[in-house]
Amino acid sequence: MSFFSLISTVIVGVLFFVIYFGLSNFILDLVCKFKSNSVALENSVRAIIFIAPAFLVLFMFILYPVFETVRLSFYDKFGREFVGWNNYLWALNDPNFRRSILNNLGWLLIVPTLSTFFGLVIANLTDKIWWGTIAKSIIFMPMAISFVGAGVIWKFIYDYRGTGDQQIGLLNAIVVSLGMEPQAWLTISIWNNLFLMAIMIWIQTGLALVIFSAALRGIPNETLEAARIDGASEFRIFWSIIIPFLERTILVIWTIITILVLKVFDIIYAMTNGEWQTEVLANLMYDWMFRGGGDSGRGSVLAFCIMIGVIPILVWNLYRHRQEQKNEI
Amino acid sequence: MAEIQINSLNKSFGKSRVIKNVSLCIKSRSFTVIVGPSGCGKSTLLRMIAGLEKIDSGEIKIAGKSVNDLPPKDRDIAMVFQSYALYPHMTVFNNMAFGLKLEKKSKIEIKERVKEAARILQIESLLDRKPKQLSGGQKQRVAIGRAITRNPKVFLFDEPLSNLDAALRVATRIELANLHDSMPDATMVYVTHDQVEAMTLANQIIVLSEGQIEQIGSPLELYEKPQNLFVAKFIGSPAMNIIPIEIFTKGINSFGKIGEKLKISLETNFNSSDMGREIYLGFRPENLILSKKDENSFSARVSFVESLGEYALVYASVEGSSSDHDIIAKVLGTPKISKGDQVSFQIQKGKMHLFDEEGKRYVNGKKQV
Repeated sequence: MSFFSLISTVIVGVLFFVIYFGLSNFILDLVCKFKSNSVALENSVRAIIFIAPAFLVLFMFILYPVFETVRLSFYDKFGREFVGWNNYLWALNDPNFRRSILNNLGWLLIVPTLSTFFGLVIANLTDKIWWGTIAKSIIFMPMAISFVGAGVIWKFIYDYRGTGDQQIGLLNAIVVSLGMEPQAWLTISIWNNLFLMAIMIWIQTGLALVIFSAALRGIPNETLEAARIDGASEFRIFWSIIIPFLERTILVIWTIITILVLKVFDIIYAMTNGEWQTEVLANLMYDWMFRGGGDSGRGSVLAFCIMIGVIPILVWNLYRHRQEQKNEI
Repeated sequence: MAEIQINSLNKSFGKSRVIKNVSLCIKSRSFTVIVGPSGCGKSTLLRMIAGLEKIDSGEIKIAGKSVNDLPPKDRDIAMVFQSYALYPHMTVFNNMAFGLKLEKKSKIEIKERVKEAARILQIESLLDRKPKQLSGGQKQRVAIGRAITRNPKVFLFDEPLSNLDAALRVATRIELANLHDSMPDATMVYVTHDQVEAMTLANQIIVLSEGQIEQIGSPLELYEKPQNLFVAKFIGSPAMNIIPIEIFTKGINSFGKIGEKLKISLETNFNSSDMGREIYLGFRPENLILSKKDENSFSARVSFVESLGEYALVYASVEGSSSDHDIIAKVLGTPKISKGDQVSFQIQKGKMHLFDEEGKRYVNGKKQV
């Protein structure tokens, strides 16, 4: 029965929009026939008609929550009493908040850089060997795993059992076989952040790799050959020809991963839940918003901070996109 | 001194053999053009000289030294590509200086050499631009400039004019010829499918077909004494007329016949053993003269006339044979001929080319070796 209702919902929804677009377009045509004022006006009205539904959905699910978040950040934990800047002042003095900001900065510096770097280098190397395609598919595979799934997998890699016990964690198994003491990796402060980042890099390198592989195809072979004749070594070609050629692609991938990293949550949630100084903004926000009764004020402050972090990158991205379009014209 | 010596060179891509046992010598200081239809292996041959393509077997020597195992950069060559292959993110100056920088030349020397090359090619005002701000012709000059600055022994050109429009192609062609004159020590190897480029630029042409050398010679040799049917048809525009002919009488001035009625003096000595052989008679369109009917002329029916003012191309089919043979005549001025007319042609004395059944050239009744 639920399957039937699902289908009928889809049909009703599609029908509604067909009727909406068809009818409004028809009415506009009719009105314009009798009152042929200006084509420009007609075009702008038509644009509004077609954009309106999408805008409405965007407003309801994105713009409104943004404003509501900002509003809530000035209210108390139940969203009833206005508390002014109190929530923000709290955040500034909260050690966990400061730790998250630091950790997020670390994630931002390391993960996009290393993912892009590995993706670029591996794409370039796999292009030159016959089993490159196989290697690429294997490296791309983690992309298909959800962050939580990846967390579970890596939990087994970092797993720790007391000394003397059989080590089931891969890393500890290796360490013990080399004759060293097993470590509780995820509790080693500062380093454990790197261990968590490794998971994200493991996943995102695949994305970078696939996009770079495609972009590499776009470099004309003759240009590389010209460089070879000019006397450039393979490393020099990579550095002086290929990297400048891929500049745009590198920036795109770097921004994609940067935005993703700013919102990193699942991996921390599944692996450490912010313990042992691995806290990040998104997990802290979740903590305050939904755990221990919830505090919508403080949660909103944290959500707002994440948004503030993403905005410059988005704006910069848009700006670049505009510049490129201008250059192409 | 940079002679290029190639000995029994072979190359296959998968199952298809692209270069078949090619041996040749490109003289030092020559402008050698390798010409042939597309897919004949000429670009592959050039890329093997450059070191961009591996050799299956055989040997390539540049200036007496085997370069089989040398990477491109150690062969003392420069190459100009059809697609220009400029480095898009570098300015014109840096494009031309890239090779010199890799050689770790001093900044002053780099600047001097780039300036000098830019002066020769008249692109001094473009040095600060990026390739995408240049026109096709300018890009090709930069590509040539990049080759010049490195001052190599051998210049390799891979169809450098193919991406230019017709007018620019002619202009650049002349500049390339002047460039060779201004650098008398350089050996230039130039690949093209355009026989006009080959004729105008080269002092030695290598005609290549299906991975084999058809003929090597100066442009005029190729034009006046093509060694086989392929070269005869390939060099010259419009192409040489070729019609099959049967050797009819022997002696000092043998006759050949086309079909039953038509007989033509072949200006050649054939033996009795040659009687009845089917060979090929070739003559160039410009060696046909409109004439009165006599014993050395043959008649043809005009099927089309292209009048270009300076000369007219007369398309006609030779009559008197079982199947008609279409020929083209290049007649100076504006002859008063129109479609459907019956005209008589004579072949100029000494301008006949005879080829045997296998397409090899005959001289005085003997196969040319």
